[in-house]
Amino acid sequence: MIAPDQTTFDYVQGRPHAPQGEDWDAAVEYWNTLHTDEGAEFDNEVFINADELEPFVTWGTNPGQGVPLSENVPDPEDAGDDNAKDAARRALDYMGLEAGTPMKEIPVDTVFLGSCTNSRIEDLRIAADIVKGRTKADNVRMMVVPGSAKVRLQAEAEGLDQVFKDFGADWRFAGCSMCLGMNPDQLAPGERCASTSNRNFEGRQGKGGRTHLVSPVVAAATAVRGTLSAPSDLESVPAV
Amino acid sequence: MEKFITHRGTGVPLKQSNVDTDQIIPAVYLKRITKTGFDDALFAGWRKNPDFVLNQDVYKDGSVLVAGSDFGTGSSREHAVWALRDYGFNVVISSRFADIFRGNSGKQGLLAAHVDQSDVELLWKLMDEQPGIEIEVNLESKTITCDTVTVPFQIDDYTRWRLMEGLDDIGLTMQHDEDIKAYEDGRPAFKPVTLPAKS
Repeated sequence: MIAPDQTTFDYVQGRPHAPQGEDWDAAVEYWNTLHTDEGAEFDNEVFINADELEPFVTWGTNPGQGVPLSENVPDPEDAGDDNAKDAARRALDYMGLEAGTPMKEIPVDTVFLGSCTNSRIEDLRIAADIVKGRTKADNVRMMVVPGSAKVRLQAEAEGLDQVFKDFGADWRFAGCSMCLGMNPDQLAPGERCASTSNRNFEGRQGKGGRTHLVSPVVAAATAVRGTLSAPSDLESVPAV
Repeated sequence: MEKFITHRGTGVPLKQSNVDTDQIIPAVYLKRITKTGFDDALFAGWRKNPDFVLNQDVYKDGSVLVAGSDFGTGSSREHAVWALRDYGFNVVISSRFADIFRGNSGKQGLLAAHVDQSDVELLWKLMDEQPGIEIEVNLESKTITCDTVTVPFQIDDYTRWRLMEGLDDIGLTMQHDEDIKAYEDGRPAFKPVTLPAKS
């Protein structure tokens, strides 16, 4: 949990279902009491310098089995205890990967840009910005599924749907789609997917389907190159 | 919800860690609009494999699942507990449970018994030696007995009390009807409210 601050209040104010008028003032006064107590002790403190982070992608079958995109598929023998080693071996077998393979050389069949996790209007804008003027890799199908109907309408008002369609992607109605494959949006056995959802368990996106969790910008760059990629791997768009 | 004091049944060894809810019940089954009848959905992917533990005659009527660590991770679906209950499981034993799964279990009458990993391995060993052996779980004394071995398990006092009284969320809530009404009358207007269903 994170204490709400002015950025949070600015985001909430004026949105549907947000309190208004005197109720708003009372709510903000109350929310301002929701901070960490002076002198609180934590079990563990973790500091992350976001400036030094590069995109992470998963190689295995749970969200913890991930590496920076520029690294290689790890060796199960380097995983912690026997349990972790066993889980890593099983994951590589399911994913059809070999330890030592550079992540960026892994080709995908499908790119799924969607799910409530990573299909906000901001995500669609940044992904559209990457694919605009570029050509989709021939061997890749791409689905773009807005995170909500509101996001879809906003994206269409901004012309993002056309950018994705011109690129060669499917532009869909909002829904869960391939995040969990409840509808026919599923992977075939062995099919490999770069997905902006947040679960990569065995069979999550279809029986035998292989999921790599990626961010929206990695999804967009991957659809261009056909292998797991960062935007910095792309050639610049020729000036028109 | 039925009261849970003790249970005795066939132990089923599931020698795998990180058994996530997508394995316990794949998402396609979530489209059902009932709360029961999920027994066929339990471990649906794995049950297609003839070697899977529940496909072995000796284990298929099991009711005490002994699993690896990090059981119930992933999507927070209540159906995971329903599927285990519908299949016939009353107890899951593991050295670590995903928090939401453990919470859902207590609310649906499934006992999530937390034991040391060495005790999980001890139980697996006993089950390997005597496939189909019964395991007795006593919630009153917080112990698990298998053959001549008895090991303790942990569960928070509140969940233990609820299970022993057989109280689900609605049952608990209905005990405080008057208090709820009094509280709602004095609650600030900006906070969310629950409105009665329109008749």
